Amino acid sequence: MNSENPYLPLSSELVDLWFETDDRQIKSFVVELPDSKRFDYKPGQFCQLSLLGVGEAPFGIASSPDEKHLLFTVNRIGTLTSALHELEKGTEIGIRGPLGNWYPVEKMKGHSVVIVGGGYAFTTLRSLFLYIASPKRRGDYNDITIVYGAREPGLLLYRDEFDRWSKREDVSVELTIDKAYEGWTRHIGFVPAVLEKVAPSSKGAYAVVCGPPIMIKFTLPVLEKLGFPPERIYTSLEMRMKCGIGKCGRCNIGEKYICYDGPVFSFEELKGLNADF
Amino acid sequence: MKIIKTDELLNLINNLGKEMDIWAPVGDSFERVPSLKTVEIPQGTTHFSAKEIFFPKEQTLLTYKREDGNFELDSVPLPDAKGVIFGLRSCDLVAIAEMDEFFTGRTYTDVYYQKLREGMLLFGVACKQAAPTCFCNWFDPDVPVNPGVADVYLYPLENYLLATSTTERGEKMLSSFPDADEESLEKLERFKLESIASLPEKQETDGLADRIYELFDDKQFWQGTFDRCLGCGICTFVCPTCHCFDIQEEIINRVGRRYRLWDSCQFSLFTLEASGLNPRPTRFERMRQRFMDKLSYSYKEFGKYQCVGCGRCVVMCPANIDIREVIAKSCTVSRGGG
Repeated sequence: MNSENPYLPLSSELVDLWFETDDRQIKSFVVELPDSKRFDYKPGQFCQLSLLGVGEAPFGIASSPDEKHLLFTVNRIGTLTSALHELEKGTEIGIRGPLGNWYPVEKMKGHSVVIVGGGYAFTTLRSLFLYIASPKRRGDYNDITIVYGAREPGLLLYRDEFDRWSKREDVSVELTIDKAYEGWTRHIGFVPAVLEKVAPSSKGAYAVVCGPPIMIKFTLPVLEKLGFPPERIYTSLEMRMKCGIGKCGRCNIGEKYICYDGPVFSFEELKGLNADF
Repeated sequence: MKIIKTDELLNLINNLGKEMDIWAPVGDSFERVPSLKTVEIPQGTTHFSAKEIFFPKEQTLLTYKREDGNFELDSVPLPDAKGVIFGLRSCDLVAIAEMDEFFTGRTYTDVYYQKLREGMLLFGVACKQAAPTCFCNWFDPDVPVNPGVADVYLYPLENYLLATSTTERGEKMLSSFPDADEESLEKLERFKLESIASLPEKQETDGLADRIYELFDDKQFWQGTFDRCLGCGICTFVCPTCHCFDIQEEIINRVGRRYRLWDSCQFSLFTLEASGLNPRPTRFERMRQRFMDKLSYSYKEFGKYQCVGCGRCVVMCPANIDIREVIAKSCTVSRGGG
């Protein structure tokens, strides 16, 4: 973050990019900052990526702070994301951040963590997983479980990495797709159903849930049934944003600004809020 | 407390005007004037507040050039202005204090706001007589005679004024004037009492934030308010504490800029996401958001209501939506009920 002027983007270079899903709607972008020391972040935080002449939009950081470069995984959906998808390697892009709060990785120490994701909402969950499951921190946490699903195999993010993570003995990786698919040998069914089947222990455990609203709606009762109290279930919220620093006034849910007070909230915190949706 | 004669005050301000802009209430709003001719200002407030002097309707955040498809960021043009604003009412001074806290506090300093705000000397003028739409006393009974964040704050007595300051620079400006004598201090007390007495009967605002918060889902309560709303957003533009803005880009002749401009929670595009989802799809959610923010969220988050009782939205709303009615109505319904 530019300490003198928070609206001023840092110039960074797009060093690599690739299609993340078979429908070519989602691309990952590797971004290199000129001076990595100026960018100290935690899993769950986000950045404003900007293209001069087009605009700015917020994206969760998908890389772990241990990685050399920043990773963003972007769905092509609006003006800026379409322009990002057109970019070539070597392009300069503007970046403001890190912004917002982060997953409670300190509080989670000594506890089990269940990561539940759906569709393309695995970006900051990737950051969280890599952070807590890194060899230098793995000992700080008990069981680590991922339940992640997408409509079909080709729509899962980070497939090569999931293959590697699945081979690890110190983490459980449960992948699922909505319907049977040729060659698919893992779970079949929606994320909430698979979560119920896998039934990770809630004893002193934290759950972090990101995904489409409908998935979250059906996952919460399952977590409740498994015994997770709302103060130990976290999620990351999104709203339309402009400034990202709590000034422009549009991303509030009740009295909380998603960009400034969030984007990470526990369901205990969300329970009492006046939500417009 | 100092005594200052009318022509001395005019001299003081017009001398300042040799090195800086003079802003004063002219018609509907605060305008830049070549010199101050009178210390008389109209009863109540101008239709538009002075916020646009620190928070312009449109403001460049950064500029860049486009060469061979590449962009080059220019050095950032931070705004620079020096001025004296004469004729601020106390409700507006309360609003400015809230804007200061919002833009320059809370982790990130908005340097654009800060730069313009620091360059302005504030001359407040106590209200002799409230306007029919004034209700500042609902939030704080002393407001109409309260110096707040004014550098110099003036009480217009018969043919002279009493002046006080709350800042070092204000104190400096007043240092050469004589102290007020006992007789004028007595007049001041009468002035204050009369001013406060001219305000309407206070509505109960204790617990207002919780009361309004609990009416969130009570559509019946909001009926008769939101269904009249035209969604024009004038309430937010005239409000001295509304600070929402949009950020846009434009390129003209290969010179580009990123700029901000006033936005309003009353517009449907305000929260429309790229996916097509809009968490506030109708006038109901948008109007409710505004009242929630003014009368509840702000208090819960900052401990202050982002309504200062200036009455501008009451005067300007083409559909006669009246925030005073919302407050009064919230007092009559039972908690959580309709």
